[in-house]
Amino acid sequence: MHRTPDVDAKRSGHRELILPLTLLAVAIIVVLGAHLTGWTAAAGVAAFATVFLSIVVQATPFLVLGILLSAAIVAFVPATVLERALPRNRALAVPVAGAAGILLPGCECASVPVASGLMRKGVTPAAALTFLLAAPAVNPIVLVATWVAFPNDHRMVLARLLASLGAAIGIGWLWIALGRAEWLRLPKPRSGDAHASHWLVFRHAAVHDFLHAGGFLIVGGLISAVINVVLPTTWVDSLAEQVILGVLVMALLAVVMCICSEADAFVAASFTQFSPTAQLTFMVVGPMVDLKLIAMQAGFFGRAFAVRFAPAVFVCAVVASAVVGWVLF
Amino acid sequence: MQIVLLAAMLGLLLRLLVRGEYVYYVKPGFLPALVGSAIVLTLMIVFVAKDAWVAAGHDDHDDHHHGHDHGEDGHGHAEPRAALLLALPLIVVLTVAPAPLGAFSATRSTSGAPPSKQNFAALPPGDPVTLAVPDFVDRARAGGSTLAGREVQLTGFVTPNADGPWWLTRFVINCCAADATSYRVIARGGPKLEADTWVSLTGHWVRSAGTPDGIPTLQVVDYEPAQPPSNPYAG
Repeated sequence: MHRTPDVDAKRSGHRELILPLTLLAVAIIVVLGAHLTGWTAAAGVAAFATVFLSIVVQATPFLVLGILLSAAIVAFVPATVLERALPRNRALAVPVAGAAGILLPGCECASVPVASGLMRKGVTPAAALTFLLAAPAVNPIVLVATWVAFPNDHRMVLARLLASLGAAIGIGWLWIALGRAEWLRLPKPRSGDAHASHWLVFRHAAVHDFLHAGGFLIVGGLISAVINVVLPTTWVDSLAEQVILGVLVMALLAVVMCICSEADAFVAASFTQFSPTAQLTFMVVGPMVDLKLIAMQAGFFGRAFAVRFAPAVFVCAVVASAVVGWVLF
Repeated sequence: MQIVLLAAMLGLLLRLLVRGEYVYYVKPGFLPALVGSAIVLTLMIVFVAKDAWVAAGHDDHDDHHHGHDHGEDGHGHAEPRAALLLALPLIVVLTVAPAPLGAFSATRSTSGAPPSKQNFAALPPGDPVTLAVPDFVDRARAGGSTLAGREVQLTGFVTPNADGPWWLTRFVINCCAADATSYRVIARGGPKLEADTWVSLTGHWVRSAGTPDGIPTLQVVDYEPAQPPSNPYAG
């Protein structure tokens, strides 16, 4: 009933973050509408609405699946099962978690709550984070989509697998070396839950996670849709000639576009002016760092975590892509 | 409050499903997943409502767990501030009429992936042949040998072009509208039409008149207005 000052500070922290971002997004739309004339203004708002809603509608089933899986892990899977499944050595547990990521066909929206559920159940954060990054990036559906999207160069599938796994495992080891537990702020079970039935725990976790993740997903979708309307993707075409700049531009584009990992290969393939390494970077960065993921990670793991994790993953993914691209292409 | 936010998401899904508008946003194959999500949301609402009912003191079996010591206390305030944004998609749907991507987005997205093959089967006999815009673009990019000497009918919407004839346009999506790529055809000799008008054009492919970025040209012979298709995206 009586909230501690700490909790209140965290609440106002959320308020500080969310409301300005939303106001900024709305303000940009209004300014945009005022500066464009005729059909373009109305069409711009309509395009914003379509992109925003498509990100939300597309992510909802994956989010629902993710929160159900996460809640099931929290409520029904005994901690001892997970302990036995992973090697006790943390440095070894990381690649095992990465390999486990290959097996789970899921979207990045699903893997954030699942990783949170694993951590709440006592899985070492390094392994859970590697799983979080690997699961959407290298699952079978994604690899088949990549195979289809690049019919003339099947090396792209191998390159994607190697670069994504490399980045995911690299981040896991980086966490072991540098990570601090206090950066992570996991949702805590409420006081009553210790004695509650599994079924009650499941229901509470599912509803709480959906509200939590859903709200942050919408922040990410909102920002991505605004950028989509304000900044046409065709602006990047002029930069395609520059090899290094091309890689960085495609990496940034992956962050702002928020494309589902199962579809990003087709978009990457359409950037024909860019080098294969730049296209690879787009596909490695996208499932690991994008605006909706950063927003959801801030919601699930806390802001202190998100501001460190997202840049680290971004750098790691770009480096892994560049190295693999340099070797393979 | 939790119930209101869950209901807002459920309302969004139901509205898009009932009116069939979900195809503006995602591939039609998403239908079962969206229905499943709506069912899960409904169950969540039922359970949250039941918990609230119990917490309000209507459960006689729970009399040693009431008042400020109740585990559920403050439950209604447990959602983070960001959760309030779950109401936003429904508000957007109710204030901005749902529409598929149109001419505004067409010139701002990449124009189609390279064709997945070089050897296309010959078109079926009988002119004009009805062809999807992306199919026409792919065949033209692969050299156009299957298009030479044939009359085709293409259906799409109008995207204005300041530097020449407008483009007949179709979007292809792989997952959702955020990953859409446009396929465009230059409508040479076409009628004057408003942006986003749906039209069927009959004409023939013009060899080597495409732009360097792979947008082929159609010499228009005839046209007729078209109804917007129920699935606005091709592929």
